[in-house]
Amino acid sequence: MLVKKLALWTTISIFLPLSLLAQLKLDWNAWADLELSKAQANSHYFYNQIHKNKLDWRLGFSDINLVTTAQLDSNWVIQVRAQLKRNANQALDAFLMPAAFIQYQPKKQSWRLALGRYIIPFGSFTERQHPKDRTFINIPLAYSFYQNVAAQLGYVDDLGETKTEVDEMVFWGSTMVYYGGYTQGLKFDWDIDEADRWIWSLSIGNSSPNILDSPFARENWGISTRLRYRPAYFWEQGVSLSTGTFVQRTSLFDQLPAHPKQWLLGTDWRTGIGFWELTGEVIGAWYRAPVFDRDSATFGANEVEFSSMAFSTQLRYETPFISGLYLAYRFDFISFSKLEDSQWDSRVEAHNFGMGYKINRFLLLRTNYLLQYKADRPNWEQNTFRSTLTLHF
Amino acid sequence: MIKWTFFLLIITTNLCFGQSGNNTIQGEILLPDFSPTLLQRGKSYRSPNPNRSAEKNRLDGLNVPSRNIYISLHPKSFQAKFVQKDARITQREKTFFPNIVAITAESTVYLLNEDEHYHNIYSLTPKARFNIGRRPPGNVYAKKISKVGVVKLGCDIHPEMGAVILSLDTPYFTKIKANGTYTISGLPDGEYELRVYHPAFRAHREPVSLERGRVVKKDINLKNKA
Repeated sequence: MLVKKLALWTTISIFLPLSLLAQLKLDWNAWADLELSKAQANSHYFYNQIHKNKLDWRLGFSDINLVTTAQLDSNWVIQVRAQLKRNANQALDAFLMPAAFIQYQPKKQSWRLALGRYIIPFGSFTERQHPKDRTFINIPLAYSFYQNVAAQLGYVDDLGETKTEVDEMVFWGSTMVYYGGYTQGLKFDWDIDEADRWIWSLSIGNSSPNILDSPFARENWGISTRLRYRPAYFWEQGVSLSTGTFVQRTSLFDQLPAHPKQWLLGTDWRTGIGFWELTGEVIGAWYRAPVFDRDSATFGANEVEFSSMAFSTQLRYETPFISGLYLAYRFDFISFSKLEDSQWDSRVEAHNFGMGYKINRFLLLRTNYLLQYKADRPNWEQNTFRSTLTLHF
Repeated sequence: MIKWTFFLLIITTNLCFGQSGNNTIQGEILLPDFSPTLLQRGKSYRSPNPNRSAEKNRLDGLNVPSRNIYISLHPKSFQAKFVQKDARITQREKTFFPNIVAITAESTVYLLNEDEHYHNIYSLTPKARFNIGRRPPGNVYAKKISKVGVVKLGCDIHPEMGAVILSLDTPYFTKIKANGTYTISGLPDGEYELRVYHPAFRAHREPVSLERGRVVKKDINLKNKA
């Protein structure tokens, strides 16, 4: 029913008007995640999508997605992803349109231009977190939230770009570029050689992926770029760079003597042989932000520099003896630099043990247990069990 | 005496169980004027990247329904003798070629990776589930197919790729020719069911009777079955 509503809404708002202008060829795809979850006492929504007030066993849909691709002609394509998503209060009532872009690719050319809201070209996880292809290999484990989320930025508690409401309380977090995975702007892709050995992407856009309130505010703009190289058939390597402010415009912005700046540099790899696959990523983040004086509640003239370093790796094994079954282990780590003798956020490490089974072409079952440790919280009390049945339509 | 007994035994066996005749069936497959689109349900979210090489276009041109329809005759009045008929599917330009092959059940399909990429081949078809993992360029994998029926293949690394193995319980089958005709020869006398298969068309079945070494002409209309 919800899928039908999504399809209807997308058709009426986007494709019906377009169909009056051109003869469309439409592809529809939909999927939904039915999730059973349970979290430990110190769970945090920013880290595992389960708020500490919502710890009990829960069975329900976590999101329902509809992807539509419209081929206008041989050069123009429109793609839209509409989503109903569970909010922090665990209600499936947040309607989003994570992706909506129009793409132009001239005939016999290997470059493309996309305008709209699309997956940000940085690292490998954005593509994996929001797969546009229904590959068994590429679907991540039964979690989607990622590392690199800090609760505050430069001592400014509510200068974060991600606002989450839980039981009518507002929580702020400042994130790196990964949180959410989408951005809006203009993207250029170039398949440098025919064999897909070299692919370069460049995006100029609002790289605060969750910002929908003020998507074109100048404070949010930045550049992201990724070069992917395949040295051998079993090895893909990517290098990504991103810079900008990437901070949501708030009332504090007008008080700032200088806007915060963020630089991200990352590299990611993917290699595999037989039934094994190893992927990983390292991301360094460097920030410059004005110093906030808590006593006077004002900004000083000084700026402060701080940084974080994140690492993650995932090992996956597909069992040849039970077709469709895989086992996986993932390790995430992020640490933060010191600010005036104290760290600006606490180190996080996480161990994920996962298992997945593709029942058939339309049903994928994934189960994982997350052991998560954050330095300022009691040990391992953010652990999460999550089992997800993904239904494709 | 022993020679005569052996001779009579051969004659009796042939009369009871054997088939005589060398019949032929031939005809034309009448196709719709448009090229039917293969339903992609449950396969992939199509990446909006229309970049294609000349070789990819050539392979896709050969993988169209009008070149890959299979016609088979299934004996109803006698048991067909098992004949091993193997086949080969290659992966090139992120395409299965051919994307439909027919074999007799218990035969082997040789799966080749002739691309510059890793490829995977898996099947989630009940009673024919398998996964051969990542296979490097140049690799050949032999897979024996025991199931009778349709076995759907995919590549888990390139979701746009798909192929079908049509595993048959009869050795009497052929593929449509480039000019849209077909011929199956060497058919014993008897009652048959003629079947036409391509995933883009609804199944076509009809009874056929063959006897006395005749050439039977049977045109098949698929115009309304796309």
